[in-house]
Amino acid sequence: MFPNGLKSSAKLYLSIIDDVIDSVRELFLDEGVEDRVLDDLRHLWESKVMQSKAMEGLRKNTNPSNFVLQLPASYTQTDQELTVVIPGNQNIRSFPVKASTLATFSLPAGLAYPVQIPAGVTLQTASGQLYKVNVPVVVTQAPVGQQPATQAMQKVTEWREASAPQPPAIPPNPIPPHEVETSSVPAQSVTQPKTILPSSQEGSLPLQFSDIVQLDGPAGNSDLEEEEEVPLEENDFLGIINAEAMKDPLNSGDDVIEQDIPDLFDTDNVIVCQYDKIHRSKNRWKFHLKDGVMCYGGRDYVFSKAVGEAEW
Amino acid sequence: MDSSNDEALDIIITNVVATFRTRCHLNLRTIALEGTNVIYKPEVGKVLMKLRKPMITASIWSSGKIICTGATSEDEAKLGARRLARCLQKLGFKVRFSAFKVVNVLAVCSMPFAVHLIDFTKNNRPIASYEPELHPAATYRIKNLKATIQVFSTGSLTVTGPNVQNVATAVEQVYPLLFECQKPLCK
Repeated sequence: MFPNGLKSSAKLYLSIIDDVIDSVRELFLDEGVEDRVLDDLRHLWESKVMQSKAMEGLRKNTNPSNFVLQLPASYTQTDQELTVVIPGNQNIRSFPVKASTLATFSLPAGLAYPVQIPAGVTLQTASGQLYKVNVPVVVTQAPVGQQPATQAMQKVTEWREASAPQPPAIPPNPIPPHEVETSSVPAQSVTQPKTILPSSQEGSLPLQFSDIVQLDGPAGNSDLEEEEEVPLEENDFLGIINAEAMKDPLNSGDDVIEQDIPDLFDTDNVIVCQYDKIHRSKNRWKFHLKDGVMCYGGRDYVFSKAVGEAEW
Repeated sequence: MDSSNDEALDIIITNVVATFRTRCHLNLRTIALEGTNVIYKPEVGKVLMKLRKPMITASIWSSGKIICTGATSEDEAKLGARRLARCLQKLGFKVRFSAFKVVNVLAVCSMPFAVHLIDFTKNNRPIASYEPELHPAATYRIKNLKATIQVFSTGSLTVTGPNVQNVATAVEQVYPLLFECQKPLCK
């Protein structure tokens, strides 16, 4: 569900960007601003949106239709003329790629494995991360629970020295995609076979994959605002309440009990929307919301209707 | 204490209502936008602010009058009221805590016996009144204490009064009258 939501919101954002840019194109020209500036603006905008998405994407790689992209050892076909087997969109933008990261992609489910991807294709993962394939690769299905991370990293570094022969971590057996769930592949790396490289590319190949920006790490998930679960930590420090001198006991701070009000929870989780109905009974809240965007866990979810319940 | 009977009845205070004033005009919109845990009700012209500790809800009017409900003791009500005033002070208002007064205390109590309401009402006219078609409990009002007691046939009571002392006294006053009309005995 998550990647789908992301994809559609990515599409939505891109379509918004397209819309805006097209509408202002004329205005820009009227003002005498070059078209190039407009294009720059567009690229800047897209990259910023993508970047924030990339963060979300890399954090959660739990897409069951993901699989591990690997290059089989037995790959001997160095020639071109590899047919592009992948249907679907191919993005034009290229993205720097790091050798130490393992790419998980989700290709359309109906695809038969192994899939051949020629050089020069840019792939986009479910999380929005873009990878440009500089070396022809064959995608195979990884078995469940595989953790190629450390092994793969070692392999990559070994590759740089171009010495040891490397068996692939996985035999390239085509397995129907539906039956495999490589759900938790936290680290990312790419293994490369030895036969694929003509001598000239050996040194450069690891480098091609050497600068994937890995934006892992927690982004300070505070509790969800929407649920109003924010614990109001009040100080247990009770100042002694003086007996009333009915007139004005609250002598500005003297008697007053200091309480620890948490600053309006600088939370990252925000929903901006309109409401249909908000209802409360004692401390049970029910929300009927519409037309909004929720930023939760770094990801954006766009909705036309949302229903929620919370306890305060 | 001053009780003639020595039973140990558990009187549980469920709600204490108190009011106080801040002696300054309060901008409800500011409170609604910048305060935490607030509910704005522009149609009635007040803001509700809920506190977790003590668990109280306060209705705040722009005149500076505040009604604080939900506390379980008089002290708690005062503490909550002061915390609330502190909240408002932090929002920038020149709050002065004044005229704090507990206006109502609601308590429940349970007799160890059932009560025959008709006999109870008959014995205690006109202080007691009972209209089963309107309400299943008999109402007993003690004028000098300004307390009202609702007696249910199961023996449960709810008592409301201006302060906790009055409520306790009211229960003590009514106990012997109820005792007379216990269900197994009377009729």
